[in-house]
Amino acid sequence: MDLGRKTFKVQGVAKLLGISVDSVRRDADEAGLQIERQGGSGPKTRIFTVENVFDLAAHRARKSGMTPKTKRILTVYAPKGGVGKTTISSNIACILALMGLRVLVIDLDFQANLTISFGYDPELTPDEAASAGLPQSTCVEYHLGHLLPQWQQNGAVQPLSKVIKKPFGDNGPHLIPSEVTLDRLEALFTVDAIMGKKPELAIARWLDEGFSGRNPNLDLSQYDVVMFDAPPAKNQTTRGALLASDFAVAPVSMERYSTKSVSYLADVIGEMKNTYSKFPQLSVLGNFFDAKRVRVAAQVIALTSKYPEAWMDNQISTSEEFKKVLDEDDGLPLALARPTSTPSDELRAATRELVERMGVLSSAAQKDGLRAA
Amino acid sequence: MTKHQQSEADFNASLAERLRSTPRAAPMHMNDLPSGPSKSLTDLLSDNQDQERQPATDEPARPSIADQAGATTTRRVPLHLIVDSPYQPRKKYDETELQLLGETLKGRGQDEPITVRVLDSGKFELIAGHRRVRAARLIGWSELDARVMHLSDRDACLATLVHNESNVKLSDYERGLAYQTALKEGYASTQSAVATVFGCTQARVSQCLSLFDLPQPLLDLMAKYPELITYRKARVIKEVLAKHPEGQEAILRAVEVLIDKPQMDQSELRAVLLKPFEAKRVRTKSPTPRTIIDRNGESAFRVHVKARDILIQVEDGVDVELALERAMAALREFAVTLEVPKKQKANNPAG
Repeated sequence: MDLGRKTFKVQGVAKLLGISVDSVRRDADEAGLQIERQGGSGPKTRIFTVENVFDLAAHRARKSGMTPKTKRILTVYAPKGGVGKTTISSNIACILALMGLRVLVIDLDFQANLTISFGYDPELTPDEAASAGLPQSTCVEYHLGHLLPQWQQNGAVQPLSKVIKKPFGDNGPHLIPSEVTLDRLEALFTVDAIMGKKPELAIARWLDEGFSGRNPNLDLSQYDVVMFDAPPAKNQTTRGALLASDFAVAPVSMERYSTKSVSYLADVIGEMKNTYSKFPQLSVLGNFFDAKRVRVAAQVIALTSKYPEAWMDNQISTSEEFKKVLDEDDGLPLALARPTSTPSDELRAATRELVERMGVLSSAAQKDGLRAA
Repeated sequence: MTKHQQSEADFNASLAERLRSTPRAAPMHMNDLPSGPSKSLTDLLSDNQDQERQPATDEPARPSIADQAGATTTRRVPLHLIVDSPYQPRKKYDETELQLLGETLKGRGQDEPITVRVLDSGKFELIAGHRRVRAARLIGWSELDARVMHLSDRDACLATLVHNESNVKLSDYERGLAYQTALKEGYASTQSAVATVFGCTQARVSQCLSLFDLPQPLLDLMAKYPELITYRKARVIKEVLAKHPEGQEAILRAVEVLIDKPQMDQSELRAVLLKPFEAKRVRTKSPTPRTIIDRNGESAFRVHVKARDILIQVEDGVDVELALERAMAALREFAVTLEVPKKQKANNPAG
């Protein structure tokens, strides 16, 4: 795959894992990873692929005996578009996996930006892939809809293994991709709604079955964190994901409309509490942050005075880096592509805060895991 | 001062102040976020499973086999339709605790659904949640989440009894009542079977049941004040009654002291109950001194007796030495007529 070409030297890996250069060397040897050496006549520096880095993270988690306390479901969502949901999702997913957690991220947006950022072109046909010399796994044939009974008119669904993508190998975040037909799921949910079934419970049911491990064709029990990247819509699909979630992260772009969208979201969550007594805990993450701007300060005040608990201590600054990775690294998540950049530091700090909020790790493991990020 | 008339920090503070205070052109309505705990995914699904079955089927509503077998559904039940269980052994509800529970409900929402069964009248009879229902009424709620069961009288009775056993602060008397009911209704035939049903020790069952050996007036008293007599205090009462059967009426009246002094312990209670019987002995010994008069009727000696001590006070004008000599002589004369039992060495450490 294309993304496999992104490589890191020991220093980059050390930064990604939050450990010393020597620890990287020792652990890589210990894990018996097949690490390429730089060719030519110079010193034979190790060259790590993205897969190697995630393998190393998994090895370190196993070695330290890290066992997450509980499984968590997380939805990254804001009703407002363009606030950075997909960027935040893909980066958080990668950073969680670098902490040694097993992560499944599900693209709920038919525009499939998350899927693209993990190196898949959802419109690529198998023929095009073949003629470009790409493996068939680069093509997106299935999405979440194919795993739900609604899609198959309540017939047999696809096994998870046929749907799931592993863009960075077994130990990286796993992906349920999306492609343009996913939006039909919404129409099917609407039919359910008319027939008096409860479509907003469909995703909850699916996750419950998956976590139970009852169904060998849908085994989600291996995952510590399941994440949804939800589209900017207030529809059955996003409500279903939110209802099933323990936590919701709403990125805000520090302008008036995006602040308002948090209020819409609060209303959706409040409705869930009233109807089902089940709702996600909200975290509001400041994106495109620039503390020096008055407009930003005004939004911070508006948000912190209304949602003091939800407002996260860490924010993500405005940075050209996010745009650069789109062109230069095929949209690879910034936290992977440029581990030493300032926004990568901020993304790691925000993810650490989120892990604390979600209570995934015990306090001892948290120290270890957080260092790793 | 240069053109920097304000420090950077002051400037930032004033900026924040300005942003806060300026009336905004268009004040933004911001919705509240819910607080309190959320259900788990599994609970969400199990709660919605049964609800959904009903609209899905077009058959007329008749109880399914599962319902008859005591299956449960969870739904909102209006408080005015909820009635107390006649089997509820709890007799007393602490107002302050209900108030506190109300505050908790208000703050956290309802964590756990109450349990009710459907009556033929369409009302819901409580199985578990008597305190929560009262607290919810206190804070003005109109509904609660309830697990709705279909149970026979007999099963409802057992469910109510057993549920309460595990719950907070049931008095010995209330527990005893529950055990007694269980024996009477035949859920268990022996104390050890009762212990199995309620998940407690047989000793506990026997302790709580021992309260019911008390005389009827005390049983009536406990029906009014279920926390009044613990099984330990009952033991004290029975002990005193056995000692002074003739004083039963006085003893039973004396027990009422516990209403005012519930914190009294067993030994204090024993002292209080025994007091009327010991008081007479103490009063017979009059502490007034006896006088020994001379031939003219004037007092020569005053004699005080305190337990085993005799104190002779010699009046003015009488020779003390001589009085001692005579008294000693008289005692010696008396002593030779006596045979005092031999004292053991151990009782006489001075020797």
